[in-house]
Amino acid sequence: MRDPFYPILSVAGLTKNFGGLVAVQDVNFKAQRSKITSIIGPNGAGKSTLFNLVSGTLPLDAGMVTFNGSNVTGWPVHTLNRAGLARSFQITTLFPDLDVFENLRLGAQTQDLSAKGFLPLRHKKQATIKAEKLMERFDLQDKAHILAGTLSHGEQRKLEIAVALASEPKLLLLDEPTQGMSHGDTLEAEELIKDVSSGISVMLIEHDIDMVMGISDWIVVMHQGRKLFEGKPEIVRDNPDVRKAYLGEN
Amino acid sequence: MDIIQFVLVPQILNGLTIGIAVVLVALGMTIIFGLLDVINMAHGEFYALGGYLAISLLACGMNFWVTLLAVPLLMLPVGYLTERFFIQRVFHSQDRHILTLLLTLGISIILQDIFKLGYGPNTLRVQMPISGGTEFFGVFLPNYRAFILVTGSLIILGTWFLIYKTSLGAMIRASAFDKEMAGSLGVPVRQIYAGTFAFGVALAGVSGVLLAPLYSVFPTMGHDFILMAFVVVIVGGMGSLVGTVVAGLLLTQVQSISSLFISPALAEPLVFSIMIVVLIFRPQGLFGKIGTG
Amino acid sequence: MTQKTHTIAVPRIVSKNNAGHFMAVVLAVAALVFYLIGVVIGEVFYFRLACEALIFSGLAMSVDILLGYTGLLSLGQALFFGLGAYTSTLLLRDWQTGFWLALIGSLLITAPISLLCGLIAIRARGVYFVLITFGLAQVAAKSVYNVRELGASDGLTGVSVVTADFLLFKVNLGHAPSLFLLMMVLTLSTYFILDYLMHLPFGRLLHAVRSNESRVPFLGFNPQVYKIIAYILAAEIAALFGAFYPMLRGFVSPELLFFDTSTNAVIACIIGGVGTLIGPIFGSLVFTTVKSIVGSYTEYHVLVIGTLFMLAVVFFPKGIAGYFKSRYDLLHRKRENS
Repeated sequence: MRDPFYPILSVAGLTKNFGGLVAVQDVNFKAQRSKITSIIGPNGAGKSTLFNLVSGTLPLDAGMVTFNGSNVTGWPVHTLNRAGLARSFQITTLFPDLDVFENLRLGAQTQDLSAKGFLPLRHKKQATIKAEKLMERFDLQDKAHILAGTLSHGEQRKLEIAVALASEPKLLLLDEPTQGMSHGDTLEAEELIKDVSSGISVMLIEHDIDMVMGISDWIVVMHQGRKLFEGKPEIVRDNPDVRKAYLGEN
Repeated sequence: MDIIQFVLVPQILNGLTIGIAVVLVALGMTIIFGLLDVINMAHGEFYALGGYLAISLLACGMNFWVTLLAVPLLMLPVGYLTERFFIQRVFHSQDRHILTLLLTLGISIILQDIFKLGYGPNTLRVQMPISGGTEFFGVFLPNYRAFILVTGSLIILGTWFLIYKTSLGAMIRASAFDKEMAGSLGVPVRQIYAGTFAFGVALAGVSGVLLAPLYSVFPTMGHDFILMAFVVVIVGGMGSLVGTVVAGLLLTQVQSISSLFISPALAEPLVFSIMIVVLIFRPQGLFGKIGTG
Repeated sequence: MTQKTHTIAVPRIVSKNNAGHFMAVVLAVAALVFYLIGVVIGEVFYFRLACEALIFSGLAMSVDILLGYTGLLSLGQALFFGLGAYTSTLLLRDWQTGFWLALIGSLLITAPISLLCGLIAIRARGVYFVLITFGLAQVAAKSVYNVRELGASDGLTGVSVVTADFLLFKVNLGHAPSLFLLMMVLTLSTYFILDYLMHLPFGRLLHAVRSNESRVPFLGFNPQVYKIIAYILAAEIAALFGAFYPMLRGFVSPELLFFDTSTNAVIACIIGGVGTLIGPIFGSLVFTTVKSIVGSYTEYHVLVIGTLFMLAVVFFPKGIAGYFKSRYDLLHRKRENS
């Protein structure tokens, strides 16, 4: 029997160079099930690259990614997504000329593996129902028939998370979900993320340190492409190296 | 030895004149793409327009050499206005790649019909401005072809100089690299856009005049020429000057030499297959875009 | 109210409140009126003209699948249209296969060829795709133009009158009014089938590819697979309608493969309304009408069509169907509110 608590994601020796520039160097960490793991670090620390490597968006130079117990190193994005790894993007680019409902329904139809897009009508109905539920949960009902490209910034971020959730992933990667949000929206997003994480594992990159400290179960601190430190929020907060990396940057 | 002297070398020289002409046409296309990201489907018709303007000016009694200078000058406002009236109109929409392509496609079919309307559907001949030929090391080269080789090379070098060695060229490259940044640095981006488009169109026009004595002038001349120009631009890397020159000369040589051995009808598919192979292994073409390299 | 509109999102073959379907029904009624008037007057010319318009409307729909639903502009759909036309000619004339096998043969041969072309073309994005489709068609046209076995520049002539056997009844395709009815049925059923496909998850994914291809993998789908399927589907539609060309005209010529054929289909698609499927049918009818009316005064009809086209691109990017849809929806909302 396998340990039911084995980590949802573990990365080992993750390395990526751009030309001669080292973006991510030998990074190891694990993300536990049903927990919120946050990646923090000053600008240019390699957080986004790390995300891109884990989600298959960028090919990695070295290292191994294990997701849900299988080695997924080098898997293409769509296969990873099918396996249950979804992500949101920092710069929101959903499907701008499709409406909110359609964006969500597209996200939801991922699960209809047998349908492959062509047949049974039953599957389409499921996707429709799922999209409606998500609109309700994210308070987007009024916007159902508004084109995603014309939503406000905060709403787009919300939709971004909702679409990623629509495929019912096992692990949700959120790239700076509150970036550019007002304070009120940030609080709302914080609640949403907490709410989401009750069922699935979440990993996020975040700049808002207060929020990270408030919601994370585990924090990985990146600095200059390397992992500087990892631990529980209260331990990370008091770590002198972490303080130095942040203060030195700002 | 005789084969080399009387068949191969003339064929290479022949290909070289075509090559220079193709490069001239493709150069305008690649500059327009490099800066504006616009595939100018009407480029071949602008080339034909050059030929037709030459016919008109010559008919008015103008001397060929003056025509050769006058036509590109006349083409500049044509290009400038085309950019201002049509390209700019759809330039800021989301599908601008496709919209600008469709607009220039519309311009091209309208121009083709205007040529037929104004000049009739038949082929019009232009008298050779220089007759005779010269022998170089036992190889005979018609003087006019030699003239095209020299003039074409000078124009290509001049274009390169303009883009890479002048402050105007620096502004063009800056706009191609990042138009917002260029704009904030005080580059008049809109004028640069229209001006570059006009310049590309004038290049097509000048090749139209240069080639008129060799290949005559007819309504679909641009269309027949444009596939080769497209292939050159793609293989060379869209928006790359060096790439266009290299690919233009190489591919026309392939076409010209291969037609000694295979049916000329198959030479074009051969060149096209080269393009496909390049696209499979190097989709961005052999060289990079103006702003980047 | 929003709730209600979603739960009925399952598409029906003919649904209420759908401007496109309404236009299709209008077209069907108009076609019947046209048919009756034509039969009474006994004029064959207009039937043949209408048949030609309908044949090219299939090509325009094929362009629309790619451009309007997948975001891929093909300037080489004539390749598959010509492929269908030539295959059907050879099968009818040299093999005497008859109606059904000519159609099936055209569709069968198009599958591998479109797969191959598609694999080459969809690797490229944006304008590169356009140029490759353009080039592929150009090479095919030049080759056909130079192959003596395919009639070279003269094309292939001598296709005799075809009779289509529908078990319960037979249609003599040499009889223009009958061919017209058959083409009308074919065109409208193609429209409804394609429209249905575009509302399935498959069609929605094509929408997603058009809207933002790079995000599609994050939905768990490989966009290349869907682009290829769309490409083959479009090619098959073009070939199917192309296969009818020799049945109407009795011959094929290399012009069918030329750039003009591809461009005309794009023009019909844009004038009619991209991304509507019904629009291209209307666009093709308008195109043929303008061509024959202007063409009876001057041979420079392209000038008029080209100008119409440019006006459409700049001022009416949604085309006839788009304009109609906005009016229709407005009317519908008013009726619902009152």
